Amino acid sequence: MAEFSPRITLFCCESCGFPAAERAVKQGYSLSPECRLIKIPCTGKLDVLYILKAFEAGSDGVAIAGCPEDACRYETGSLRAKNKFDKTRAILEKIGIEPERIKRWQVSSSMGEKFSRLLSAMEEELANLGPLFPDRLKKRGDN
Amino acid sequence: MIVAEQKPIEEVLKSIEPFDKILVLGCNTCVAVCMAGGEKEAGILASMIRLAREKAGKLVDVLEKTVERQCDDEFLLAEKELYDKVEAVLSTACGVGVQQLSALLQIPVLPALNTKFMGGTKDHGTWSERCSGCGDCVLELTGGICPVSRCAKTLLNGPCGGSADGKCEVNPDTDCAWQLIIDRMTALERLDKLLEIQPAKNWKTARDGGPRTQTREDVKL
Repeated sequence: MAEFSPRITLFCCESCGFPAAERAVKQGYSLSPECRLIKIPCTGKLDVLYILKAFEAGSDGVAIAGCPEDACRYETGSLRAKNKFDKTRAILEKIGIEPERIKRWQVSSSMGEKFSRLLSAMEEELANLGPLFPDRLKKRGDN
Repeated sequence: MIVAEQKPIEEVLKSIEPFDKILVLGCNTCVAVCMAGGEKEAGILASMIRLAREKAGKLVDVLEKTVERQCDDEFLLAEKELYDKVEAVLSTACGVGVQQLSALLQIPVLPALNTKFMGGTKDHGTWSERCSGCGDCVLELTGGICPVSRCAKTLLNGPCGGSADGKCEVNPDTDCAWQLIIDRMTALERLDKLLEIQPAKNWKTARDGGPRTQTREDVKL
């Protein structure tokens, strides 16, 4: 059986998280084809619904990559993202999904190395947890 | 608005356990404003149900729809074809909406919310009870602050001996309604109005007279 490669959706702030991902790639980090980056204007715009939809759509994990809390250009965006993140973690726990499947990172645009380190660690953790829905993975493999 | 909150998800999942195809029906009026059952909250609930049931190995088909108001048949009947496709409806309306729809359908209509009170927005994300629907408004006498809904003892001649430092003895986080009334009437220079002793309230106009119905003959056809 092929090694499980977790599918991760990354919601990235266009000011910090997304440039950090670009920088990581420029620095030689190889982004897994199972990682999907979604650029959003601010992680404060993120909603619980988007995160749950990402899991519904087949993600094994979701990461929110936003600015450090004191460096959000919209002032409260990262704090809003924290509230949504905390709420979603609580929801996941209640519906029987490991809360470790969601991460929140605070990275500035220059932190390519930190971005790649956090993503690698997440991939490793998710690989140990296994697929969110093993039956779907089987179908993924069949295709 | 009517203020409600979502039931614990465990309770919701238990109520829909026997069904394999449900409709989550949102309501875009009061419960959307208090962020409990509008289109977004109905969507989140639908996602939670799909994920929870798949994780538990018991897949469920969840349809989603949100109507403008579940307390009016005209909005509910517009979605008639959806009800035929499911075994049950999970309503994110207040208790009024659930009952309104239940009366129209032959399938179970289940509540996803606990309806709490009639209230207003205090600040973003906080709502406070403001009206008990007693059917005989006394706000003219009390400076626009309702002693029926905001005084823990529903006193019409207050404050009671439990008022201390402007707070209620029932809950120190709650302002004493009668302290608020006195402050407000003082500011309005109408404090003398409070010297009039109010007789015992006639609760016949409230819930104590049983479920109430109101009819406007002039708008009937």
